[in-house]
Formats: sequence, structure tokens, C-alpha cells
Amino acid sequence: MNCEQFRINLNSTLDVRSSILLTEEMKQHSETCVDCRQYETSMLLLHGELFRIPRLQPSNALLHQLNSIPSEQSVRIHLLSWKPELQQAAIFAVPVFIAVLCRWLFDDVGMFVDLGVVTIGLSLLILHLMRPLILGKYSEITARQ
Amino acid sequence: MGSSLSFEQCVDEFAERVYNHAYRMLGSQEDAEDATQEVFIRVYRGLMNFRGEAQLSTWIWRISVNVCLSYRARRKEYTVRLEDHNLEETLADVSEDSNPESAFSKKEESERLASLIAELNHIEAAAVSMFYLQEMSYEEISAALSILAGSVATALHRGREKLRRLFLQNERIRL
Repeated sequence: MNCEQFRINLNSTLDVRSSILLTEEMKQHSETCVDCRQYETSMLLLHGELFRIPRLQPSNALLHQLNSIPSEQSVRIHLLSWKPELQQAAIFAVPVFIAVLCRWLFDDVGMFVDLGVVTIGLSLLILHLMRPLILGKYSEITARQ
Repeated sequence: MGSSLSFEQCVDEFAERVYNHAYRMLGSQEDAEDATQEVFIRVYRGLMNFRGEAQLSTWIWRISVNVCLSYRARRKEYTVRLEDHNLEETLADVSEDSNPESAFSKKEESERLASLIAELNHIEAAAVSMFYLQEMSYEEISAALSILAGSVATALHRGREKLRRLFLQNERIRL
């Protein structure tokens, strides 16, 4: 057995938590090789120390924070329930804003721009509102196919 | 473990384990507390949609692993990896004149050793923490880290080897 093989085998032996049993071949190698004996000693001590690492207790403040997650999250969800209305308002507000901007920048074509942009805004809003219906129909058709 | 656990039961069952894992992975109490909180926020949000395809414990461990990974990525100090150190030099120094028995004999070394886990790369640190601190099986670690059992063994062996070198190096600097 060479040193590399000894170290690989020792590592595999450490993977069994309950008992560390070196084979005769490994024992023989350890007796004749100073480096590997030192390696074995340090590894076995490290293995033991790793199991002795103290387990920490989370603070009461942390446990309190964890237990209050449901109430905090439900408030958050309630606030987010406004999201669709906000989306719809934004979809309509953006073209209106562009229309106002265009009117301010180009006075002579203002009315046509207003009409065009407001029409686009309304179309987008209608499409947005009908999206669940359109998607529902689409999935029905694909399911049938 | 089934998926029928309430959120409060999840906290009772896993808070301490997740916190300990995060503490060893991140090396600071503040980060560990923040990470634990983030894990349980994700657990709360996902619990209703949890369909039991994986075990609940595996799912929670996966979340913990991902959260710790993102915390480590955010912290620049973790970018200095052990691979950057000259390991051959370290090993030569160690074999020349240090006495491993005395290096590991002190009981108070445990905490310092634990702090070195955070210096390993993510997979190695997670494997060591799960194997030694959480006493999880290879299969459980493999599922939590989404890697093969063979890769768990490799990560564990590498982690152990690096810890041994780091710890001995650390001892020499301190002395």
C-alpha cells in the first residue's frame, strides 16, 4: 500500500460515523510511514473535533421573528392584492402621459397624437383585461389538439 | 416526514438546525440570523404550494443551501478561496515541525475549527456541516445539495483535508 492509497482509504473509513476500523494493510503502512502516521493522527483528531463542534441556540429574538413571519407576510400579501389595479392604471397612464408630452412638444399635430395614443392606451387596457379569457381559450384549444 | 407540517411546526423542527448550518456556512451570527429568516420566509411562501414531490426536510435544506450560497456570493471575503493558498507549502510546514496531537488536543479549539468551515468552498462547507453538525446521511446530503452521492464523498474528503491543513496552519500562526 502506498501513501496515497492509505490516505484515500482513511478518508473512506472516516465516512462511517460509528466506528473507525483500519485494515491490517493500513495498520502496517501506518507503522512504517511517519508521514502517514502523523496524517492519521491529525485526521482522527480532526474527525473527533468536528463532531464536538458546539450546537448553537438561536436567540429568542430570532425565534420571535420567525414565528411572526405568517402575520407579516399576510399584511404584505394584502398590500400586493392591489397590484392588478395598479398595473391597469399604469397601462392607461403611460399613453396618456405620452399624449400630454406630444401635445406639449408638437402643438400642430397635438389632437391627432392625442386620439392615436389614447386609442392605443385603451386597446392595451382592453387586451390586458381580456388576457385571462384569451389565455383560457388558447389553453382549451391546445388541450383539445 | 410528510408535507402536512404547519409553518409553526416547521420553525420548531428546523429553526435550530437551519440556524446552525447558516452560522457555520457564513461564519457570522448576524448573517446566520438574516439567512435563517430568509429561509423561513421562503418556506412560508412555498409551503402552500409544496406538493410533497420531495421530502419536506429535503426541500427546506435545499432552500437553506440556496440562501447561504447567495449570502456567500454577496460577501466578497468568501471569494478568497483556499485554492489561492499554497497548499503544498502549508503541508510541508506542517509535516516538518508541528505536532498534530497538541494542535488538536485543546477543547476550546472546537469553536475555532468551526469558524474555519466558512472558509471552505460552498459545496465542501455544506457537506462538512451537514455530515458532522447535522449528522445527515450521504443520501440526505446528496438530495439537499442536488449532487450525486459520489460527489458528496469527494466534497467531504476535500473539505476534511483542507480543514486539516487550515487548522494546522492556523495553529502555527497563533503560536
